[in-house]
Amino acid sequence: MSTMTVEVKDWSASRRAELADVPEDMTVAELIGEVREAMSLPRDTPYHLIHDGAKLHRGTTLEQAGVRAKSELTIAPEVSAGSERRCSN
Amino acid sequence: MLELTHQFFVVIRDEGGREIVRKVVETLQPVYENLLFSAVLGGHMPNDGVSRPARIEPEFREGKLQGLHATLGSFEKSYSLDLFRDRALELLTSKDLVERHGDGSLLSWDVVAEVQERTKPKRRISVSREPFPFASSTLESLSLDPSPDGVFVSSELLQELKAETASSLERERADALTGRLVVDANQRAAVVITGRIPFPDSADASATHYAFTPEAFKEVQREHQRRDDDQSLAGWHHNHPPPCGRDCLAHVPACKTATVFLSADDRAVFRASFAAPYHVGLVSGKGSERRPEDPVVRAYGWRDAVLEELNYVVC
Repeated sequence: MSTMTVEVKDWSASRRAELADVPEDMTVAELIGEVREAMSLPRDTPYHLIHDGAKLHRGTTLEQAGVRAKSELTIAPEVSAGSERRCSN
Repeated sequence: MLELTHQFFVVIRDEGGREIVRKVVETLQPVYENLLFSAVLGGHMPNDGVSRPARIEPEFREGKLQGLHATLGSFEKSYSLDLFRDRALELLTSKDLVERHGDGSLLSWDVVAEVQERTKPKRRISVSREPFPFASSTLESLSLDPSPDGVFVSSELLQELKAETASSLERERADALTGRLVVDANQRAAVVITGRIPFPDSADASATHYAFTPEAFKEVQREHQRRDDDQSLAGWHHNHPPPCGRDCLAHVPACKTATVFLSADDRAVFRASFAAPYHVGLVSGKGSERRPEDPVVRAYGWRDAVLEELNYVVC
């Protein structure tokens, strides 16, 4: 199985993680886990990878998802704002 | 790049001091952001976008955890346990605890630090970042006087946000805010918010929540790049509609219901998506004894890595 270097930016493009030796059969979920750890992103918020404007399925491999060495990947959260739980100071 | 010697847990205790909930603190990235921002503003570090490693350790006094000590090169800063107040309040207001322990007034919280085993990363990962987007202008050159919290919102934008809020009484909606990050004569940071990029209408939005999808974040980022102006992403805005929706318009005189506050979920959005130390969150909605068509807008943001309400100046 061949490997590649992958670059993932956060949603605002202010930070990016470059991962070396990423196997093509790594799943999207595994890549998210490593990027989340490297970028110190909150562990209790679900994150997704965006490629070509679409959210990648967590269970697919990078190869199946069409991710190549020069692919532009973005990690972005799925999170809700709301007024249901009040939390006053 | 954070090097943590310990893992931190927020612990909720019942009236007898027994531990009833323990939750790991899922990120200390706001501490890193504040540390780097403080170092840059103080002239201790160049604003070159290099992601330098920082070390965060617990500070104990007489065996009791007092706060955190953070080191970035030769720059050091201490943080109080207020850092964890948000998480504690989120736990205290969680549905499960409220059902079991009422309003939580008999519960208490503290923070526990446990030594963290260092795990070797599976592969070589380097993290880099853009420099903080300081504009070439200063507060003075924009003809603005310094304000204690350093938040300025243009009157045009404020009117737009109020109009959107007044017409969105049944559903929450959201915007990314754009503006300039500047410094004043004393090298204190200020953010001047003048524009917005509406988040797409969320299929998953209601009177009490707005769901940000990953695709929506990407769309906003694309629009920001497309505009290619001198505006940086400065934060976010969303509204809290009145509980009675459009029926609120029929209430004369206006009731005492107030809907503008930073909820536990809003704080999670801040941590996950708007963690830069200069990011501001505007929340709009109904003020007590005010008509829904005359909404209130309040500002929140990071102060020493803790989310606080901030005063803002209309400019």
